[in-house]
Amino acid sequence: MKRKDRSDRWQVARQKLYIENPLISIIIPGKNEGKHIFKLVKSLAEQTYQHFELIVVDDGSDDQTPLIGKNLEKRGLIDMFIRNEIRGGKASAANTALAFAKGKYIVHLDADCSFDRDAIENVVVPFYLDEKTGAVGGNVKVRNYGESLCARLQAIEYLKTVSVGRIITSYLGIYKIVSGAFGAFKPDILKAIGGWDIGPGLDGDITVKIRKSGYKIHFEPTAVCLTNAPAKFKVLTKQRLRWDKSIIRFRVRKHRDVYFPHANFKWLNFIALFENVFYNVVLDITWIIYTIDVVLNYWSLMGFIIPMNFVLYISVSYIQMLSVYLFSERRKEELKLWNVLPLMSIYTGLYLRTVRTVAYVKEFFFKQSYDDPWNPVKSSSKAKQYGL
Amino acid sequence: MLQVLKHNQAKQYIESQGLKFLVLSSVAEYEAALLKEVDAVILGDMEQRDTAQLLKEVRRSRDKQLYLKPIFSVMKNDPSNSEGFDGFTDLISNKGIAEKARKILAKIDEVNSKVVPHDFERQTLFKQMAFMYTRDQLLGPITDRYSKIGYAFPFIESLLTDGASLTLINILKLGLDQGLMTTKLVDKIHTCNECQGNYLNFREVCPKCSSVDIVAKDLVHHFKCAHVDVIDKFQNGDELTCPKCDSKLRHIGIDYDKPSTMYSCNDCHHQFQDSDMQAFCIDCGKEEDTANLLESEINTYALSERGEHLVINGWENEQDNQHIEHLSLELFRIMLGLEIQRSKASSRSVFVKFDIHQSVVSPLGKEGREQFQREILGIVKSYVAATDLLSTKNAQEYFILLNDNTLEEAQEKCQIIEHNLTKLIADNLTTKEDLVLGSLQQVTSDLKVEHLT
Repeated sequence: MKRKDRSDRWQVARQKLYIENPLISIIIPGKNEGKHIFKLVKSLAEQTYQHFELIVVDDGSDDQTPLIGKNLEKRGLIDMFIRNEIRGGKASAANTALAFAKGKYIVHLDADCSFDRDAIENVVVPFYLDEKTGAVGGNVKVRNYGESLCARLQAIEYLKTVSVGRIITSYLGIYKIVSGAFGAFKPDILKAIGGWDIGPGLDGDITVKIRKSGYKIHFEPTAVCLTNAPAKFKVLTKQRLRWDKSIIRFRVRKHRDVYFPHANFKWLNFIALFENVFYNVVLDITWIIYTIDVVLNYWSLMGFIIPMNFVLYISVSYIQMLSVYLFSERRKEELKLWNVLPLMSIYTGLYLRTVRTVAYVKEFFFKQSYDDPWNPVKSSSKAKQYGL
Repeated sequence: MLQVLKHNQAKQYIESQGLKFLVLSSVAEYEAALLKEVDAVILGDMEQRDTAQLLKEVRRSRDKQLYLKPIFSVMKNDPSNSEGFDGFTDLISNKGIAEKARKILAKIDEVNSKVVPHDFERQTLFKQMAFMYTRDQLLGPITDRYSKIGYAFPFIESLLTDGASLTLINILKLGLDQGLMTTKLVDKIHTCNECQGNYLNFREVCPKCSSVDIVAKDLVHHFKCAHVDVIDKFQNGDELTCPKCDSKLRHIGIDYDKPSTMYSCNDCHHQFQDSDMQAFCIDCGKEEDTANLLESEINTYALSERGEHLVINGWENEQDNQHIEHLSLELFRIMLGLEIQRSKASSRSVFVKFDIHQSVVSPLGKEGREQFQREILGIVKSYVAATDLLSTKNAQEYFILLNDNTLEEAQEKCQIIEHNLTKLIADNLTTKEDLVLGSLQQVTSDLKVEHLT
């Protein structure tokens, strides 16, 4: 009954979208992304919703990107190609696009993504379901899961945490990260909060800023986007170190005000960030204490504890995967992932936890995210100076 | 030493070293018959316009003794010698011009002008080559503000109507293509593809609406908060203040930078980084992309061995065979009319018409259309018999009168031509519309020429 009600409301919202037929500004900021742009344009040409403008911002690329971008603009496949000769970082590139976007909604994409035919339509419809919605996150899935074990494990992780995890947090009103790979925003809200701030982790940061402005954040599982995940553990480690540092930088440091009572205090914001920090940081620390405790005081029971833990983790993995299976629209393809499920406990329990712990230590004690080459020094040094 | 012979009836003759010179002081004094009697001519101090007119009169003659006549001038105010004089004299003591005239006259005798080409272009080319041969000199361009192409070519220019500079270039190109001349590149010029003028105004325009009302503004990136916008949004009196975080931007490179520039169009409000470059022709008013301008080479020309051979032995007959024979539309209509009349008795002729799609022809400029027309005629000619008649109305319409053909034979020929023309045109274009449309009709007495062509 509830599902039918939602389906009816969705249809009404979709009709409203098509009646109004608003211009949507699709913005793609990035560096050295020229090789992906043509494929992306082709992918967008297949969309069911076609009233959009495409703005590509080239953030000081040193490859063929300017040539490709200008050519596509000349051929009318891109509406606006903005070449910044001097690199300014992802946030400045996104803000450049924001300054010239004319659409009623802004859809932020990564250039190496491709989209289901109804993805753009589906990521915008939620704005018509609830006018208090300030941003909508798309459902990012791994395209290259067949490439390596590393990519396959991430595919499962994305399904569990990114897809199902976000459906639940969105339902509970505590969804806190609109993926930079695929997300939709209202431009007036973005402009009111000053657009994106210096990253890394700017997608999580802007979501919190929108939440703090009093708007709802919605996750839309039917707005599906496929992306390439790192196929090697070395690359994945670098990526996760960068992501995990941003939890400390933004959720613990920059937005610490959400944890304290003040005029704009909101419980949902508190819970959203607290849940994130609690599960990732606090439980991470307690796990380390627990492990040390077991090694020091219960060494004789290790032969029982470790197998038991593994059995429990693996069982939970299968239960989680079953729930993913129920929600997913790509069930048949995702069945191929089931055979590596037993390795998920090692992947998440040991590998990701270790990377996370290292990232937290580096950021908490040494503020290393400001030294990340992902941003130019001129911006990072200012962000560090002003504690942003 | 120059000796004044006569000075009556406003005509002055001078003799020097056995040569007789006629001194002309005005256009009114010119008579072709008088020129034939003398060895060379000296033009007195007269208006440049008059000089040009006199030279035209002389150079346009068909008689080599006239158009190649040595001509000297008393004016020294034209250091460029754009008129192509053979030298200058003060009329008192300059035996140099007599020696020069003698050499030229000797060479004129070597020129064989008995076998001359039939068409104007080749006639002009021949005259130019003969001039170069008799003067033993190169043909080099002289910069000229008033020329349509910015350069003047002495001698040949006086053979053409004013402003026919590109025709001039094409005639010289013909000499080059046929191996009669060699060249050295001096410059490349760009001219309007409609009127061939080079008085062009180059301007930056909006790529969307082609308006010239565009303004460029710097983008500013504030490092601290990553805000980016056009500089206007940061401008606060004389200061720059970030509209996002309200910080003052003091130092470029430390607080902010300018990563790029954006243009905005005041007419259509389009924003862009790369404006289009457009050429506006002052002469005909056409606005065109610079890529569509006609590019021509300006060369210095020298006679090749073959060219010299041609000047001495006359225009070889085989040169003409390369020219595609087709009838003027007027003549074709007469011939078609006669065939229609003849068909009352008996006829085995078929009238064929080919239409080239407008989208193929319209983007070409005037020069391009003429070139296209020549090429299409050349191709059609290769598929029809020597007895068939061929004509064209414009770059789009071509007519053939196939003599002594049944309708089936004509249909077969028509299909082959249509197929090959379509293939040729389609290879150079992306569009796949019906590019060439052939139609045919048996010539019968009820046909009307005016309806067919």
